[in-house]
Amino acid sequence: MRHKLTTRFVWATAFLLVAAAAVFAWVRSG
Amino acid sequence: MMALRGLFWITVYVAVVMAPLVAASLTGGTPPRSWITEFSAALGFLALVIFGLQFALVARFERVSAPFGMDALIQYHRQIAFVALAFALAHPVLLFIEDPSKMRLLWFPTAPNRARCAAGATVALLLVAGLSVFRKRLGLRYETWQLTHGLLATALIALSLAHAVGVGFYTGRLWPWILWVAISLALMALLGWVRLVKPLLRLRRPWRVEEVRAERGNAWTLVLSPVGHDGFRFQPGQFGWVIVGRSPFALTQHPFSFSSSAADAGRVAFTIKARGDFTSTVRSVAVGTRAYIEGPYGMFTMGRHEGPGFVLVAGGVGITPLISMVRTMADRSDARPVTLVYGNRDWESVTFREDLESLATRMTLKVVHVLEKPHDGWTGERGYITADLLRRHLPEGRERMRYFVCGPPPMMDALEQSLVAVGVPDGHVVTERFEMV
Repeated sequence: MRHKLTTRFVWATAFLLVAAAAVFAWVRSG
Repeated sequence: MMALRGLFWITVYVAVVMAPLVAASLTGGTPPRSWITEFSAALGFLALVIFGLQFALVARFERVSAPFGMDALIQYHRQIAFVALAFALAHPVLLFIEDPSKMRLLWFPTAPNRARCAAGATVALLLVAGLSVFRKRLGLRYETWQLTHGLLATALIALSLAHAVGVGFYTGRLWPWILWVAISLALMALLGWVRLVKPLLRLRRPWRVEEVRAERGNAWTLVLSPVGHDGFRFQPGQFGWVIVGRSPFALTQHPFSFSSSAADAGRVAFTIKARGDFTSTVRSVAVGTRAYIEGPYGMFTMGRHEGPGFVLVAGGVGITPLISMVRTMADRSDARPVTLVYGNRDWESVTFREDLESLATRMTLKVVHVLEKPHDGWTGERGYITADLLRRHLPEGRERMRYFVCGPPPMMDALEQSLVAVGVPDGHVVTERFEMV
């Protein structure tokens, strides 16, 4: 079961980081 | 407590990955750039830090791996690499889409050094990913892969850092500059720890090969005893990284589960199935050979998953951590009932067959052999370990027992579902997966 949880965590990290990059770009580009 | 520690390390990981974006956000006075350019830069920074942290994930820090299990960290390392690969490739692609004239940076002879570094990093990245995904199809030895993986990954990080510094849009500013210097120093310290300090510590704790014993199923047991030190205590189910007959600074090591009883002070044994690579050389190891063990590691232990009784499910050589549990229980006169469901190809290849028979006389152990290709006259179970088979053999009060499953990945996938199907609570099933590449 841990391996499924790990895969979910990878997806969660990916979405979080894309969102962070988008917000960063929005802030920086004014 | 473990959950809190896990949460702490996850927070640290996310904070470090995000740190360059936070630092870059704090810088003022930079000329405005488009959303796509900034988004692309952010993806590049994220990819770089993820790749840097890849070293930390597999640096075998017991404090970090304890809450998750090292197999989970290795799985995360493997999967997040593809996320970072996507970020790294999207980084230039977005810039080219926004301004196609930037594609001239791809022409190596006229490109500035920062773009050359980026191209080099991309090549290293594609090689790292390609060799990992296709290692078996390319027929690459595990040891060769491990060596090239480390070297290419180091080149990838160095070239990416050089690229980021060369572009200098954010890295030239004070806070991001401090951050990047800190990240680079931390990476170098990590490399020094793994490649210098840890081997030096190993050098002071050598082991000696006492015995090399043939087992059924084309497996070999390597018995080691400590030389000039007390050895260590491990918990049955744990594993160690082993170097045999080579320098403690050797770049390649192999993880193997302990197969001996944890009650056997001093000596430890590993049982290794010959699979055609390093594992096939174990039979020719001479008695007296120097060896080094890093460990013990792993959370696949009864100590972490106590219960009123245990069901162990093994496929082939997956028996090794489980036989250690059974032997330890016998040595400690642990009276709790154990059912071992043990799948093998045929009767002759059942590793530890005779040992299990004798262990069954010393403890409450029921062994259910399941043979894929049984001989004529075999009256036991045949085929694969299915939900029906489990229903026939699981003990009374199966929902209270703890289940340890170790075997090839398809078997583990099937069993996790079968066990839940026969009424075993999800949280009572413990697995450990070791597919390196």
